[in-house]
Amino acid sequence: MHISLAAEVLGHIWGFPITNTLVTAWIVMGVFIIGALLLRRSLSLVPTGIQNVMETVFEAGQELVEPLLGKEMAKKAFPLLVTFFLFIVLSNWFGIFPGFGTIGFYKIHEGEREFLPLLRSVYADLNMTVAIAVISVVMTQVFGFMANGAGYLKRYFNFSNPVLFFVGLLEIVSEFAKIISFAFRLFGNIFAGEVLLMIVGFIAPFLAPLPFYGLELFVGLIQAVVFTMLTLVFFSMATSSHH
Amino acid sequence: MLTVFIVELIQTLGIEGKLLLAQIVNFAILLFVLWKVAYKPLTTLMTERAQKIQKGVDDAKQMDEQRTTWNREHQEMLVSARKQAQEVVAVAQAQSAEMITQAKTQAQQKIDTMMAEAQKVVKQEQRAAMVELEKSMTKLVVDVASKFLTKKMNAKDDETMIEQMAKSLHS
Repeated sequence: MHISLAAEVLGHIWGFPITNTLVTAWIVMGVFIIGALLLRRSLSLVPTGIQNVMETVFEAGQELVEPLLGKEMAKKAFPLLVTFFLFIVLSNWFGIFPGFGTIGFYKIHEGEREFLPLLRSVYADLNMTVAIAVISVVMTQVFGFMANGAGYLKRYFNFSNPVLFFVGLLEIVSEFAKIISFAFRLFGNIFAGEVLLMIVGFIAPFLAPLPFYGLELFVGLIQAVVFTMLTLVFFSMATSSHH
Repeated sequence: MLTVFIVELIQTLGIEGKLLLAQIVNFAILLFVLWKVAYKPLTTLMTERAQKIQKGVDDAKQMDEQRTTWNREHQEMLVSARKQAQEVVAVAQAQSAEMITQAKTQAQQKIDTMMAEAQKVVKQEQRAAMVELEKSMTKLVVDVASKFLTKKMNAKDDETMIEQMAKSLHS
């Protein structure tokens, strides 16, 4: 059994490394885009099927976001938050499918025969988690500027008194800390889940992994909720003019 | 020393600039496509439906109000119609009563005149009969007297004459 923190590189296209998480991300994206196209084709004023589900998610989401961000900001931030949630939760659940981490091929690497799984859960790769963490933090600044204009800079650079100046420095540090905490929280949970399933499957292949699959479904949902809710809270903090 | 450690850590964790960028782009593409294809049409549709429902509710309210107005007008019309009908009936009753009394008086008058006329006729006829009777009596008396005066009367003549007289009286 080989466990690697980093996603395995399957090959290179024009010098660009193609990892198994990238492949999975593309598959999940494909599922989303096809689903969205199907949804758009079946949209009607009287909702049916998947449209009902999506509308329920939208209504619940909007009810959650609007009191925190205000109607205008909520309209702008909502698509991003929904995409965070849906992409994370579907990717996480996708990673539980059989075949993840088990279907692959062997490659000779530095004289050693190495197993390369073809698919790997999207968020069991720090590149992906750092990517969405960066998006989340950058968008927090964007919404902060949109809501408060140049006054938003006072949050980081405040020369009116030494205490606020120091607080500003701490805020800058905390923005970078956010990226790290976002990225490692999600990565840690999903990667640990993958490893856990692999080990349980290795020790007792039948029945024993079932409760862990249930657990992983739950963890996948919870992590998506945590990521989205934290982003929402940071958006809310950035858009409110408390200075 | 620290930088070497950080670089090593990043390598061990598999963080690579190109891949990071690729994933950011991936997410951006996904966000854009979902926003364009799903979120926007769906939100538009939901707003449209909300507006439609609002309009329906407003329309229903308006119609309700209209109906109340109509009901009231209808009620008012009914009341006035009933009043008018009552008035018409009262007038008709009064008129008919008057007509009946008129007819009664007229009839009474007619009866009275007819009675008077009839009595008059009867009286005239009576008078005529009396005159006639007087005439025949006179003639009879004259006849009898002349007979008595011109003829010597015996019992048989007397008898026949009486018979003749009786006959002529009968005729």
